[in-house]
Amino acid sequence: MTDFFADLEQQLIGATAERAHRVRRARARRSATLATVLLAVVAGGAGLAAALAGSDGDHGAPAAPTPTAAPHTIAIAPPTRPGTFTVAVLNGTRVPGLARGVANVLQNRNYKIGTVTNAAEQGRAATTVEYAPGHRAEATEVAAAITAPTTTLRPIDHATRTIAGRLAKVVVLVGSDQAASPQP
Amino acid sequence: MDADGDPRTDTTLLAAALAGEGEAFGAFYRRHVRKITAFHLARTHAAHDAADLTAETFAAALGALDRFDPDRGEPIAWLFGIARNCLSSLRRRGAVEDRARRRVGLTRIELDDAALEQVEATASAELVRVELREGFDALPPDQRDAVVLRVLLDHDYAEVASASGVSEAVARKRVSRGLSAMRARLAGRSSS
Repeated sequence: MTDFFADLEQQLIGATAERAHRVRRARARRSATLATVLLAVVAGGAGLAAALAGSDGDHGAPAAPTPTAAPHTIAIAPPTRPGTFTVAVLNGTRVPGLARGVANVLQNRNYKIGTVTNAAEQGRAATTVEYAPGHRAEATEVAAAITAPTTTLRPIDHATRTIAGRLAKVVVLVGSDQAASPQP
Repeated sequence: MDADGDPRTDTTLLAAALAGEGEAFGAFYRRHVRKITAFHLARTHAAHDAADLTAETFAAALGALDRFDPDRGEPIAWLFGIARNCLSSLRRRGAVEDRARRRVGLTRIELDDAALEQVEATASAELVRVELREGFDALPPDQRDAVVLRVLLDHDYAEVASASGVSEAVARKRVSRGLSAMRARLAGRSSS
């Protein structure tokens, strides 16, 4: 039977960590945007000053090229939808069932799970999330969903792709750091 | 489920949860979930609504962690305020909202009959416990002492009488009045 109280507790514990991640990311985005705005203001000011100097000064010389603010936009990746791409989970440790545990966590969050098997090597400490070209945003969300303390992201390599299969857009290489965190 | 296993105060737990410590919110949840479920069951009389409202209440609390201000009161008062909001939105809309749950990424927990019974039993036990305690606290001191001696500590009426310096008949009367006052209180709750 479903244990409502235990299920809700597990969901809330996971969501608490995710919420803090989200807030930190939003803060980072806000300060990045602020920095861009400041940069644009400074650059625009410099351009204006240069233009004024040009018009006031030597009329014979061409005005210095006005430095324009680079159209610097912050790309905010739209949130991806779990379930619209396949995640493979490979066990990079000798702990039996660790990949299955991570796959279950992801499945509970509605991710579509592909291959779940052993990775090529089994001495991995830090969990790594690999992504197929163009799927970094998805990998970021998967990494947040498994809340590993030291997860790193990197593009998928050939060996991983061979084991995980072509369908997987994101591959979690589970390290022993996942053994330490509680599995809902 | 009574001991949440965390010695920290509610306020400290909420601050830790805001910093991202999942286990801190877990302890806060374990400490209060039965009260919140009992609150919702007492007002909806339906276990599935009580469960949904409880999940929504804690999700809303999680979503609003940064708006909790310890200077404005205890966390439990804040949590009950959120519970009341969830309940009044059910009354307005006729259905339990899931906005707060979606916002923090919680999925709705589907409950089978056994799970609904568990929710109902847990919440009802909590209600009875609270009502009994309140009913007990509301008794006049002489009745309360008599109930403690006779019912909780299992002394016989002669001992109750001599401990209170009254006749056995008076001791019996005090115990019986105390118990029936508490019974009436419980009955009042279940019929309301």
